[in-house]
Amino acid sequence: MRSPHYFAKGIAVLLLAASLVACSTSGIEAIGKPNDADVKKHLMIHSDALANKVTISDMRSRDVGGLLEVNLKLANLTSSDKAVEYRFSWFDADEFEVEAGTDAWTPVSLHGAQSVTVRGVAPNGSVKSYRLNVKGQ
Amino acid sequence: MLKKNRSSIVGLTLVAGSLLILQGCSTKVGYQDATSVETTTIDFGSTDLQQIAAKMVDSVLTFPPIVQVTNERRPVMFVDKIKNKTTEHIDTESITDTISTRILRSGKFRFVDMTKAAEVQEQLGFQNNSGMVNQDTAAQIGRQIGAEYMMYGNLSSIVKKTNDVKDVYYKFTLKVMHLESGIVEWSDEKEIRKQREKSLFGM
Repeated sequence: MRSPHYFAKGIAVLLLAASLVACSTSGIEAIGKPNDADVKKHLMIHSDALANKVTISDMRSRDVGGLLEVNLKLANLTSSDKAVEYRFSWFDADEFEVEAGTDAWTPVSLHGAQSVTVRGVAPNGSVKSYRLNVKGQ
Repeated sequence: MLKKNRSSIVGLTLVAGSLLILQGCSTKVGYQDATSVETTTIDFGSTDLQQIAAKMVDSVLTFPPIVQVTNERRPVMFVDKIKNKTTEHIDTESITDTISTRILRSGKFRFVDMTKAAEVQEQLGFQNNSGMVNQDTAAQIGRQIGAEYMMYGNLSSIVKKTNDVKDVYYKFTLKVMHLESGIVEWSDEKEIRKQREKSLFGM
């Protein structure tokens, strides 16, 4: 007959293992699929032709002197070259767009399966979140 | 009968031809996105200006020593002219206007506008010396804040061309100097390279 302490220990070990699994998935970000919630939140594709063909991954952000600095990878999921343009949209805590229309579209050529690092700095300290807009050239 | 048919066919062809020519001459005006990529010619354009401004503003606002200073206060800066060392006529004041506007709107720096110094002097003279302004409300002379930093730079280009290809390389350099010490606190460059190739029929 096994004691209740034995079961309690077993459950504790299982919980610990489950939490470790959760940590490992959030620590390393694989190339995000366009459906991923985080990607959906930060990426807006404006061309039907690019749907499910480009995505973003490795989204990092930090506070630099009160300004939100964003660093992410823009990746081509296909094997063919893609000429795209991107620009950031910035939002405050109430989800209002900040300095709308001031960021210009930047052209970038992505070779097959290539990813490039894209960096952006918020226009002012009220910005709390961002979105990367992508369209075809 | 045959002759009449022939002349009507010729007439119709002429009408259709002139309609096509008239259509070819027609113009269409439409509004476009001012921030979209523009490649009408190889010359310096709006996309170049916007890319330069974005790079410079992001760079200066995230440079650690500048971040340290702007965390404590909003220093006052003045913008000197950007020297145009290219062979093109480029309105460099427009580039610095965009850069200074963005920096100002970030809330990190304040600016003094030296292009308006004469007008300000005239207005202050009117307020203080004309006898027409209530002196309780007149802006006092000699109380303006001196700039702590100066922003300046230059734009240069290298152009190479053959019969079929024209290659233009632009380099924009911007610096921020601490006026009292003369030390350049920040500097960055933005390079742009554009190429135009003639198509097969030289169109």
